[in-house]
Amino acid sequence: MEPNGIATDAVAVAGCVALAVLTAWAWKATKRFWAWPLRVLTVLACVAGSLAVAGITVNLKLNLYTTWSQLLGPGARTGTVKPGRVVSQGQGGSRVVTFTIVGRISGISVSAYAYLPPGYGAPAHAHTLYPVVEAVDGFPGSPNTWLVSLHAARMLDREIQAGRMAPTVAIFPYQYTSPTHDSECVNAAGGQQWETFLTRDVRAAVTEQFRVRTDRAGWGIVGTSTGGFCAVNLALRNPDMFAATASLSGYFWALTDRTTGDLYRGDRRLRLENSPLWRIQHLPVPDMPVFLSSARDDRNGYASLQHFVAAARPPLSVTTVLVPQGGHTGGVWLVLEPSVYDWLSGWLAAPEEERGPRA
Amino acid sequence: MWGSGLSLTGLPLLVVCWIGTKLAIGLTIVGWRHGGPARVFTRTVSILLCEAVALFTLGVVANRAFDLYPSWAALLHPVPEPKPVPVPAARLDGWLHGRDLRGAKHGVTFAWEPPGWGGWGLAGAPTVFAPQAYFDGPALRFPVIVVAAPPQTGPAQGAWNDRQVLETMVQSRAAVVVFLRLSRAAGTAAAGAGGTVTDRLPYALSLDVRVSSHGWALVGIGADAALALTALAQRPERYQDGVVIADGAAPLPPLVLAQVRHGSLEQPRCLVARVAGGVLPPAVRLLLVGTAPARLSAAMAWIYPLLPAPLNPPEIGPIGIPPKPRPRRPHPRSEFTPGPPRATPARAAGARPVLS
Repeated sequence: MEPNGIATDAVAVAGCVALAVLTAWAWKATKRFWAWPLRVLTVLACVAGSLAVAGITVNLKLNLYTTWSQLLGPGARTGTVKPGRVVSQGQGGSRVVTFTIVGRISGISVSAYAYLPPGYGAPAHAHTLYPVVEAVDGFPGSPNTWLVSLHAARMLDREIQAGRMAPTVAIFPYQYTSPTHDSECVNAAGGQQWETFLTRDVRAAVTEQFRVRTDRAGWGIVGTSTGGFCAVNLALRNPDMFAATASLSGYFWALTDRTTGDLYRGDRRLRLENSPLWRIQHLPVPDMPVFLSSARDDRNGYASLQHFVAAARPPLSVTTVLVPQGGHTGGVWLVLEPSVYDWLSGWLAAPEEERGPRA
Repeated sequence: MWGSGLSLTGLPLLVVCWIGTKLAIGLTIVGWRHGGPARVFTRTVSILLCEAVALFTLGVVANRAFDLYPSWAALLHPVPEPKPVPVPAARLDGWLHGRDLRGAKHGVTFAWEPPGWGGWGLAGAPTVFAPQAYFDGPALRFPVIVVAAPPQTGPAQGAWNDRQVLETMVQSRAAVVVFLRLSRAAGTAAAGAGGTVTDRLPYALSLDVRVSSHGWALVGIGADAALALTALAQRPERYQDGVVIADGAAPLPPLVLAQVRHGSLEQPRCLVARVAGGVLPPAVRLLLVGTAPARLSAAMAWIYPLLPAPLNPPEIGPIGIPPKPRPRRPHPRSEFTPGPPRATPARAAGARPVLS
């Protein structure tokens, strides 16, 4: 029974009902001196129970925690995991495995997941180097946004088997060490260096541990919501590392609020340089294809998309895919997900045969 | 629908929810001592009602704050999928598959004469190479390498042999290759005007052959190197990578030299590869290869691994909408005439497979 399971939610609801019955029954059941403390306790238990139902229902929707150890364990995001543990296996032979990214430059170390396409482990492809899609999630979120809510492995399998996507390795790293702190994937002034981690460190760790292309032509980055901001921002700031980028309901202005904290410490220039919209308006734009998508009724997402499209200029090229409604939700991303994969694969270099021995 | 008058993110719903929560709690308190023998039942229902209304209110507050579901329709109805984009068939597919036996082994090379090609400023009809993989996947769309060369570039001038180069491609990655021999005047004018050929060719080629809409590469040779660079700079949504090759017979034009700060480019036997990700010169690579005939092969060998894989068309779209559509340039009328591939039989009859 996982924390994001329907069974867990049903048990929580049943517990809530039981607590309500207990409260109703216990109210008059005793007239001793501890009657009032008991009543207060049962009422508080009811409140706690209903909040638990709310939390579990939200987790059911967002899949923030998919195992109890992720929720309760000390090193769910940080620290090392057993490398190569198979999390899931697709019908075509694809696998999702765990691995650890030790950030030698950023100093950040987190666990991550890798999708290995069908044929990755076959002897015939023992020397094939695959293109890579790095997928970052929104806030609040975790790699489970992609792997559980958006069924990324199944979707990738489907697109690859249909020939709409080349066999590709997909990487799902954590991008926050705390579930309550939004890093925005930037190098915070005097803080954690998430941009360095998600670019240089991820690249180094993935090329060390998997058979993937190491060149810019073979790497793309995609994200949902805050992850969409991350993907576009990281690609525009590091055009030597990514050949294409895609945003699902992302925004394009550096955000600071209670969840991010003061990421820029008053450094206006740093904040502007982490705003993709400002970058394409005021700095030379890189030769970068960008995929933007949103629901038309997602007020902020759609407005952001329109501003970005209006400001885009060659050699930046923009492709847009819109759905009429759905808001800022996983339902929209689920519908758009195959087209993102297809589009990215159309821009990334194909798998290639290894030319020399790997270091 | 009741939601039509009460927006999911509006203040009225929030007020209604707030009042509802207060009302539920108030009624629970008032009715707490009532209910008779079923008191436990009524109290339980009251508590659950309070919890449900309070949680619903919390949900409305969160939805309003984060703008998740903007309408009742977004909450209650599935997200509609974008409409599939119909993919028209390539007009030369029938003719090409008629050469299936040859194509399945080696690919097919043929002289391609699209309507209006005479106005492209070419010294001769373009030569198109459809790779072996073209005959394996009936729906696959292929990336394209456009090779633009001066008319006099060939074995007689001590340069490469087109046929030999194509033969090496048989073993290579799957891509459609188009050889263009530009007339001297047209080459210069095309580069200056933004590449007429490189503008018109993609549309015409996509009507006849299954090619992808982007991820193309260009090889510009000698004086026509400028054409490649111009197309890369002006059509990034189409052309992704390119190579310019210095040619002893026709050295790189000043436009190219001005963009590349490597002094060694003056050498006749050099090859300059442009890596996507920045306009020249920051990402320029200079590769020196041996003999003249090897230059084009080296360029191809360099550019092949950068190309996307041949893929089936995406399931849903629209895909590839440029943000600011450019006005169409005037084309020969016949090039845009809808209808069946009127020239196909004639072209098929006149097509000259080069590769045996």
